[in-house]
Amino acid sequence: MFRTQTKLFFRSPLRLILLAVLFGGSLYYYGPMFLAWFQGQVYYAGLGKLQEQLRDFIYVFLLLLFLAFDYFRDVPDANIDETLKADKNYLKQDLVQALMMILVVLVYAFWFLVMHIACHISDGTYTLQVLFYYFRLIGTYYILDGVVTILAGWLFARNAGKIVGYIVIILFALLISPLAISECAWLSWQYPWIYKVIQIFLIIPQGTQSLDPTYLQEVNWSIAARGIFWIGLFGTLLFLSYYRQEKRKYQKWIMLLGVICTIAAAVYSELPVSYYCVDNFISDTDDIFRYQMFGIKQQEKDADFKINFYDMEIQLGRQMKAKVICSPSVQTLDRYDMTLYYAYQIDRVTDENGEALMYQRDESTLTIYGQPDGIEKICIEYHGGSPKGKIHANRNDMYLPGWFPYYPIAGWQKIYDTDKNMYVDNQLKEPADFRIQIKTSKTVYSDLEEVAENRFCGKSEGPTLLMGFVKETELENGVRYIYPYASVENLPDTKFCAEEQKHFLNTLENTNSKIRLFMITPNVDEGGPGIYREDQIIDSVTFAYLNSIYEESGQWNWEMRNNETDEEDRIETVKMLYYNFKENETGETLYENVRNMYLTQMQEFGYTENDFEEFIIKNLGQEEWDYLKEAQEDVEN
Amino acid sequence: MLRIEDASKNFRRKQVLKGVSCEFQNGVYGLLGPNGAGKTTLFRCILNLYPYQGTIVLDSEEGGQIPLIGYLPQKMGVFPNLTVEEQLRYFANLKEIRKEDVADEIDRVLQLTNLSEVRKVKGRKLSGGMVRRVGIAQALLNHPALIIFDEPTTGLDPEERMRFKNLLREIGKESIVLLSTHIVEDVEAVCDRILILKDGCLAAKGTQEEISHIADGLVYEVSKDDVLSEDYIEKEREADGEMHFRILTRRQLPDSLLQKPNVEDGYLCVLKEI
Repeated sequence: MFRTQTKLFFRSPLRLILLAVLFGGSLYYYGPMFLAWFQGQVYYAGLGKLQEQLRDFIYVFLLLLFLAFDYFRDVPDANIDETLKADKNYLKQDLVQALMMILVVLVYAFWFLVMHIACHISDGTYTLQVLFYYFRLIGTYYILDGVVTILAGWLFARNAGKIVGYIVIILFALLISPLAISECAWLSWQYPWIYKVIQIFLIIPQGTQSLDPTYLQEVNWSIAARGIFWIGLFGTLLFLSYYRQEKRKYQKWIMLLGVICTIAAAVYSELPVSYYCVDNFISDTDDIFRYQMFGIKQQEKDADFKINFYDMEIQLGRQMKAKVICSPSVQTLDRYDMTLYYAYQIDRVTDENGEALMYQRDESTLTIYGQPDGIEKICIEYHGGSPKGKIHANRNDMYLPGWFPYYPIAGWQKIYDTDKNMYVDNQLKEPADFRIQIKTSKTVYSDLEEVAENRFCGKSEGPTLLMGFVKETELENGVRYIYPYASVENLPDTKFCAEEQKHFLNTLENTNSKIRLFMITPNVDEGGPGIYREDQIIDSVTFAYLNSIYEESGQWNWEMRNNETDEEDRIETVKMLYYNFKENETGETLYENVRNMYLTQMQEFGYTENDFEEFIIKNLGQEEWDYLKEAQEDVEN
Repeated sequence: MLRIEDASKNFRRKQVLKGVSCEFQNGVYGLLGPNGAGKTTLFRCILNLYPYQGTIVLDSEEGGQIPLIGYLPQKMGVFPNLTVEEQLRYFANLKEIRKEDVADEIDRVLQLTNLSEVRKVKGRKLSGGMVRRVGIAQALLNHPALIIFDEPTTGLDPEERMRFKNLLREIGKESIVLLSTHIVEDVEAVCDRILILKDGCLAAKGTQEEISHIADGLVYEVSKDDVLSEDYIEKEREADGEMHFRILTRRQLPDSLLQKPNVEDGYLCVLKEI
């Protein structure tokens, strides 16, 4: 049966073309790497290839969908469906067709796995954790989505005409594409229910514009549940289409099971979750939108107390669940005003005797009302987390920076600085004692001292917690180095960064620096401050970047460097950026972007919009101005 | 034995089959009826392709095992990229023929349908008649207990039609063969018993003789002047420079004009309610 199906599958010219595009297309990603290897050169590829392939995953999805549809159309196109249906074994024949398609998916997934693992081995970024990650990635995106394409192709091929079928599969692919999701997400700001609806369509990798080496592309059960939902839905509909005429013994029960699984998967996928998904469009809490564009008010109030001691217990699941016991410096206040990021839902607030305390929550503020006889300790239990961005915590990965109120801090503090377009540095003004326990089977890294597995203790102005593809090593002079090891540019002692690392260590030594920790954290999209303490650097920077900052300003913190530039320097910057825009952007957007860039760069020197033409002609020449005008006319047309 | 008891089928509000009951033993059965009479619907009910009311049971002579059914629908094509032999192998797999018997079984049906010479030819290169014969061949695979042919002779040339009729006689000895056709000649040539469906009802059933007898005393050959508007003109022919009409009528005409009825006469009498 399988032999005949193989012949049927491979003798179709259309399917051979689709297969060639599917497998040949991956040469676009691996070709330069093969070429480099062939020429004996080093080619750092791991993360870049993964990023590119996941970014373009929609083409794999579409090709598999078309392949499945075309293959399952063979029977109705040959006009033998009625003959087959008259036979009790016809489903078996169709299942062999499905198996054939699953083999195609598996072969493609295997090819993906082999190439990427080879990349990581070649880069020196391979670990067992990476291998298991790729298994999870392939399981979620390639296998589950592959089965979705097979069932969708099968269902539409057998229950719709050819043209209608093509229209339906294109519509389905469009609906799950990042393009449609982004459009829907924009609309969801106006109509929040859209956000709930589009979530179920998020089955292919989203937001792979910049894959973070600490997390890579997020893979979790919520994403897998969406795939399972579509498998359940299409599978149940297929089952219905096959057995609607017949009454089989267990038909009702199988149908019921299918419906239950489908609903369960849909419900699970909609449960609140906090995971890394940057540059995607599913956010309803993107803080740059929240505070900058929608003007959510942030209250500020100085605290009448400070918190001396934090005892934190954090459990990681789909989201973070925390129990934080705070010891305030003043026990007799009527109210304790605190800040805790608004995305955390308060479950319970009690005193040291376990008695419930009154509290009020408004946005990111939390006010806890005191007791007449005072409070020694306040226990706050909460759960949740941002479903968007890199500040998140779940069972796979976590980034809770020390400057972020993921734990209650005294006073009402601003979360986001709309002037600077970045998060406010909410480190404690004075260090407090911390005792933190993270309940997870994975390794958590922190700037605090680790006293037992995933237990941290010490004084800090705000501890940073990091989990993911992270390693810790000790550099030559005893500096703790915590870094994302999937990124070749952060690997210690490698050809890629050995020189910069040596330079950095030499500078520390020559300046008698007290720095004993360098922790590389993920780069936060909305902008996040780095942590530059006397003995610690915690930021999303590399050795090379730190060295350049130090050379420029004589200190490590890029935010503190002297940004004063004169007009001539700025004109040079505009010229450089102009040619960069010209090279990378199409005529339609070039004009607008150059004008905005000019205003951003030159306004502080008194240049206005009216001076734009004169500025360009004077500094770049008439020819470039004509070129820009042409681009502007494109926009207007 | 195939037993149909009170089989009915509705499509929305329209009743297409109305309580059809009959029994079939081995032999060739012709199912006659105009378009829309319910022939294909009855077949699809037998094949369980449609849900229906009533009972349709196909008993196995050996008992227990569900007997095989061969089916040739009105419209059936072939896979354009598979050879005739591969198409049959596809169906042989479906019918769970033992691996070691598949080649012999394919040879047998290829010979029966006179397709041996084109066994290596791909589907896209076959003529309409050949495609029809591939359809017949697949229906014969694995000696089914019940074979249903829906308009099987469509597209066959006269020689192949003759060959097919002979084939039907042979397979009718060991299987129940149900044949639906518009061509009464085909039925007359091979069918042991005939069923006439009209408006979803089984209007008549019997041997060829019994069907012919329905028209006893109603078939006349008359000249043009003797034809009245109430008569049903079945055929006309020219003899000795004069037109003669074979009519079906309830009128009493001279015995000299009375004709011996055939199956078609009986069929038309049922159909036209004469």
